[in-house]
Amino acid sequence: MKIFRAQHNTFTDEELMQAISKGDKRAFDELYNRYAAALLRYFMRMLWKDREKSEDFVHDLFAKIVNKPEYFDPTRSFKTWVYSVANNMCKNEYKKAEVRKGMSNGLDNHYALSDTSVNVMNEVQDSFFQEAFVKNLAELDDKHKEAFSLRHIEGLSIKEIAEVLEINEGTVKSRLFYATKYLAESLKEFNPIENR
Amino acid sequence: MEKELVNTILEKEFNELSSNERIALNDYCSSEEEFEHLKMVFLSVESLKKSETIQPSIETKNSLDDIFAQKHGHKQRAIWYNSALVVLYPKEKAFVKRPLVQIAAIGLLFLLAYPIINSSKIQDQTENQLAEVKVEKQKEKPSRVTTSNPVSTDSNVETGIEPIIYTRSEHADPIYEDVMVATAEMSVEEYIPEPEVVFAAEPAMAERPDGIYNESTTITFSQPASAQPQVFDLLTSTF
Repeated sequence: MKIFRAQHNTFTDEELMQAISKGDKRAFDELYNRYAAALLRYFMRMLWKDREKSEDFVHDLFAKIVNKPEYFDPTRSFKTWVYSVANNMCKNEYKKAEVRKGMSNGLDNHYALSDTSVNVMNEVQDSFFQEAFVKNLAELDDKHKEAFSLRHIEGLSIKEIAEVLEINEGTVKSRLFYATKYLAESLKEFNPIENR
Repeated sequence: MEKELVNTILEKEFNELSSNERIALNDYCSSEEEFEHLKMVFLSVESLKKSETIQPSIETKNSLDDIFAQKHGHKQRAIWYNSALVVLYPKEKAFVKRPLVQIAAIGLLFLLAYPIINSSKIQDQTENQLAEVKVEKQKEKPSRVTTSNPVSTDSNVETGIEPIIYTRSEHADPIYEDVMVATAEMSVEEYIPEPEVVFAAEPAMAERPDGIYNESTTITFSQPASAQPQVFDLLTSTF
């Protein structure tokens, strides 16, 4: 294969973006393979485990990459940029949800979705403890949840998170500290010392 | 929290922590109980990462491909070898199940088996040739002098160095009868060697391809050197 075509899997994300802007389809496929699943998981966590909505968001994000590749600043890290776009999309969705909530009859759709997702998680994971962790993570307020997810699940550095969320590094650390303490406190009922 | 600290929490027990590690973790946990809660959080994160295997649907990708094609004017032309490789070398299949690998394996097997198959043919051909040679030799036999007396006739004396081969029939005396063995009772004067008959077996290959001596067949021997003056001169000449 190496004889016939360039090895796109050795390209950096930024190089792939340059190739995409020139119409290189394989570069787009490679970038999609690298980020689509991770972004879907991120959207799932941030959007109340709504699979359909998360799929739509992944689609919209990559459509943006195809249609407007010039929006990407090549001097920045692609990973940081794509997560900041994803984060802004989630924030917009939160605003829309707030508006819908104000217009609704008092029923909170997100809790309904969240409950469904918990059932789905039950099917996937047998661990009751794991389920509780996922539930507590979902119950965290958005700014702490996004910081915790980006740091510990997506694996971004504190500096990258600061860029994505457009806040300073001290604030990122503070949010991470709060989120970690909250989750640890919320899992107290599964006290491992008492269970020994 | 730094990665190293997370790893420390995941890998160590509270009583295994060094003083530096305890100081670093002091903000998060000051007791064993809090440390265990923190460990549970990160263990959950690890298992969550492993359990999340969801992938975007094919429809999403197809739709994006269409958008890409619209944006860049045309669908990228399929290159023939790419489509052939997709069929012959599908990456989603296990290595041994890929058709190209299987074809290559069959080719290799054939290549390795060919000399073995071919060797039996060669052996058959060789045996046929040997049989032909044998038949020819048997036809030639009557033209040669068959005698029990190793004295050549003039017509059989060759001028060349090669020894003239005589054939001795089955009824001739055994070879060992011509060999005279000196005994202790004999004096030196008594022992007068008779004109010695030196026998040399014809290469056994002429009779049997495997070289095994068979008594039932005719015994051949060469003419003694004394009967060939030119060979005798050659042997006794001094330089």
